[in-house]
Amino acid sequence: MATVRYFINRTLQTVLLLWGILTFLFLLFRAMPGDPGTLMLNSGASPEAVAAARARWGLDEPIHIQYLQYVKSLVTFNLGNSLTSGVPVWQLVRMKIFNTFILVGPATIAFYIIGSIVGAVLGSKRGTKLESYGIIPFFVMGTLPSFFLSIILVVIFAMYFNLFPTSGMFSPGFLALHPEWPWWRPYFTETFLHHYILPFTAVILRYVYSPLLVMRTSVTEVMGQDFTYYHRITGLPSGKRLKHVTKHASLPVITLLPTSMLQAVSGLVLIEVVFNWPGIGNLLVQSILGRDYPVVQFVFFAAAVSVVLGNYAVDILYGIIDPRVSVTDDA
Amino acid sequence: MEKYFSRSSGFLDSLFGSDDYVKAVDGVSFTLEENEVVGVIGESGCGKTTLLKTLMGLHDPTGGEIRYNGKPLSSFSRADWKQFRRNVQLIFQDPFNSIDPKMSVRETLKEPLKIHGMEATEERILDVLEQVELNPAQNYLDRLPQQLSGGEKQRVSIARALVTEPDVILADEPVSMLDVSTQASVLNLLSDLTTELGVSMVYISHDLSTVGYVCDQIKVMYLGRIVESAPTQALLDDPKHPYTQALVSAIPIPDPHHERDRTSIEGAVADPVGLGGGCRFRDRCPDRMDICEKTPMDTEVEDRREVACHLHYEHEQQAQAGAKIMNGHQQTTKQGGDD
Amino acid sequence: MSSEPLLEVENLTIEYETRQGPLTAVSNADFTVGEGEYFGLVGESGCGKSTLAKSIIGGLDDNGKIASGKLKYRGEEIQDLSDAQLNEKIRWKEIAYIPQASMNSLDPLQRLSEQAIEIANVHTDLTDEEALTQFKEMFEVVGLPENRIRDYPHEFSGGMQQRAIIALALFLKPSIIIADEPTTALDVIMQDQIFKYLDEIRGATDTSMILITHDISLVFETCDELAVMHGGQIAETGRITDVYDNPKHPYSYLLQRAFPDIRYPDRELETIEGTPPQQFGDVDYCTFANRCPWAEEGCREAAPELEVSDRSAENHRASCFRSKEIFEQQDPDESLAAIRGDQA
Repeated sequence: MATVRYFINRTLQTVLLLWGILTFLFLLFRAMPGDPGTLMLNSGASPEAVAAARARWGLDEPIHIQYLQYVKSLVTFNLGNSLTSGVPVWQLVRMKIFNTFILVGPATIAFYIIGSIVGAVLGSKRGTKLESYGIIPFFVMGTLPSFFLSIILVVIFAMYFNLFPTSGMFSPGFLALHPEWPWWRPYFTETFLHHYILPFTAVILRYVYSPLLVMRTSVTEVMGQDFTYYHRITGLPSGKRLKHVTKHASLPVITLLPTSMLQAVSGLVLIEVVFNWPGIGNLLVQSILGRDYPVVQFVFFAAAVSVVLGNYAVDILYGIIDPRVSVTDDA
Repeated sequence: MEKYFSRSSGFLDSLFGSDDYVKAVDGVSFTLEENEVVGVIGESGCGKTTLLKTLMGLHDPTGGEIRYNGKPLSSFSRADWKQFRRNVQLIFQDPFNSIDPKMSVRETLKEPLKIHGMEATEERILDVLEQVELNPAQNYLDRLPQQLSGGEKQRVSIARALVTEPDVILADEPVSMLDVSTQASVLNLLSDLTTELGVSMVYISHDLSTVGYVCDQIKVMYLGRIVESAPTQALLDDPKHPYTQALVSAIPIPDPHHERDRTSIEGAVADPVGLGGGCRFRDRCPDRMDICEKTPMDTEVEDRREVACHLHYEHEQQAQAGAKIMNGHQQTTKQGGDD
Repeated sequence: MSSEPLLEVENLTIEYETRQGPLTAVSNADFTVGEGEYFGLVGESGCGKSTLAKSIIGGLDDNGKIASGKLKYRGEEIQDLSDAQLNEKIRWKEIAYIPQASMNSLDPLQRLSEQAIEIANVHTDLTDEEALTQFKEMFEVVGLPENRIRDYPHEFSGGMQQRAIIALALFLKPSIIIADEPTTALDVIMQDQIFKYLDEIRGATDTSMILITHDISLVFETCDELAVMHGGQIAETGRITDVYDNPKHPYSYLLQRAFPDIRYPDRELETIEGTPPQQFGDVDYCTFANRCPWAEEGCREAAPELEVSDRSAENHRASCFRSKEIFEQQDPDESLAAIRGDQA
């Protein structure tokens, strides 16, 4: 049995991949025309100041030195400072990552669970009216542009019904009221929850169709398989049979997870902008507009890493659930 | 004029890097004469399908060559290939999946004619439908595959192969998916076609009991090698290779009065990945000897019969004879290199 | 046949609900399987043999149902039992099933031992260890290494998977196993190996077997009695030697002669024209009539009953109106040649 070897393999591959990505990004940004120094020149700085700035940023060093510094900085989370705000990049970004994560994480879990359940129900009722009409609303919501869906939610529930705030994560000025609180305290307030619900709903509605459709097809397919018939013939009670069907049917859904995550992260940019949610998507938009390279560079890298780690998690999960993947007698 | 395939080919599939590869077809040589039907018999996984695809030109042989009318496939020009494709046709195993379900019989038969720029007349199509005994031919023209039975579908398949007037037909298990009540008629049809139309055929199957109705010569394949080659009757009457013997004696007899011993062969066919040299049947052979670690050579035991088995030749004398045989068959795989 | 009938099929009719109406897959099937007996159910594709087999353990598809007739196991009627009752009384403990293309029936995500335990837990009170012990015993009977019961299905070759399925069918020691085309996808040497084990099972236990197949040679070599099916109807049934020596139904007569015999590789093979009909609604005609060389008008007007056709054997029955005429009063070979001569 080579299960352990499988997991070690995947881990090594992942590490290699991450290294490949960071090198690629490094080269990509260096390949772009101009650098922050150019921007300074354009806004009227003197050549001496620019040269000094470049020296400070290490841009005058030979490229391999720059590369080593780059790798070092990533590993030690010493990422330089934001050009617009002067705040260390990591400090700036980590809160934003957290804000995005707190939205994406639970929402993804939610829409996966909802999508799987509804999909499984629809799949087992294949061919009925319920199933044919049942998928329409999900389809519609899934194909609307994410910002459009968000705007609709805002218009209906925030403006018209006045149930929720229209934007932001907290009421304006709320944080200033409690300067002594630790960083995590504000997340446990009513105002946070109040602001949270609409964007949370937006993410779910927009992305639930993906696992739903896959689960529906998967369930239909699994139910037609010979081993499902065999379970019935050997007399297994329906509860047990359902457990087996679910196990099989969930495999393609799990594969979908990294794609969904990537979708959610990228679509999240638009959702975050509409709701003015201070997450990483919003940050990305603003820092690109402001040519804030250290920030942009890091955000790109973080996004790539999340996809890779997502894939890695799926591989591990698959290896645990499906022995055909990880257990072979030979290579 | 002689049309022949003479070839020896090995086929390497790189699976996991250097050492593990699959010798799907290893050192196979044979010749197909005009008007001859050669049967290739073997179980699933023996390489017969790979062999077929290589003969068709769908795979490139890793070693050795295939010649059609004396000309090697590797040196074919585009015009040569066009000619080849017209003259070498294929019949598939599964009548349910080898005909386009959206096309009527007429369209299915017209397609090859159009591809090869031949006249697609209704007459020609009716002609070929009659040849495959779909009568009255007129009634079949507009039918769709779903309106045909398994046997009828297979006849359409055969008609499609015949419509371009080929020299050679390669048939991949053409009757194994048909009911036994229709098998006989399709077998008879194939046999008649080869004698009446002068078509040569390579007939691939796993079923020794039906080859007698169609084939003149049989080659038995095991794990990529031909282990025995003989005229049909001779092979069935007196199989020489232990594998052939096992095959013949394992076939069930439709007679309750007949007592047949069950096979004594144990185990399953070995994994084709990473097979080394030596006789590939040795792990299951009841007559295994020490020398079977070395790859046996093809030995001529009688007129037109060959066996690849150490039981059938003297080893001291064979050194010189071996050299003669190797030259005669243009084997390009070195014997010593296999070990 | 010595003992008590184990399984009785009495005038069984099975229908499928389709959009075009009720499709009759089996009509008025009638035969008996005794203790320790190997019974062959032979027929070509679509004749209803698989459907019949599935109905015995309540494995019909959702749109299938037993329209009429009875199934009796040890004298007790089982055709109306609910799923739960079947699970409790019949399935696996008494009657086990080996499906067609068995390799695909093993759950790829479960170890073989886990599947065995799960099945044992449903039907018996055996502990896990006891169940596995019995399972291992069966592994030995079918020639599989005992230490591999914890493997996953994909770690076995096709032939081994087949034997694992057989072991799974046997390990709760049922009285009857129903084997539906158990060797179709296997090569002939492996097939022989499997049947060798099936023979040995016979010696080791008292299990009966119903063998469903299209290959009559397997039945002639392995079974004691057989039934030949065509278009949902039982054409002929009886001891294999009786049916072979004295066929009493045109279909079994022709079918036997359609199979190649490797001892006589040049012998001409019989062909049977046409295909079995698809029967909707009541079947009140002989389904072989349109393919039968001896058919007359009367054959299409009523369904022939399975009747004793052989004075020397009480259980040798055929369902053909003209059985006596064709097979006792004439020589079937001659009359067939004459009929064919006329048609040519």
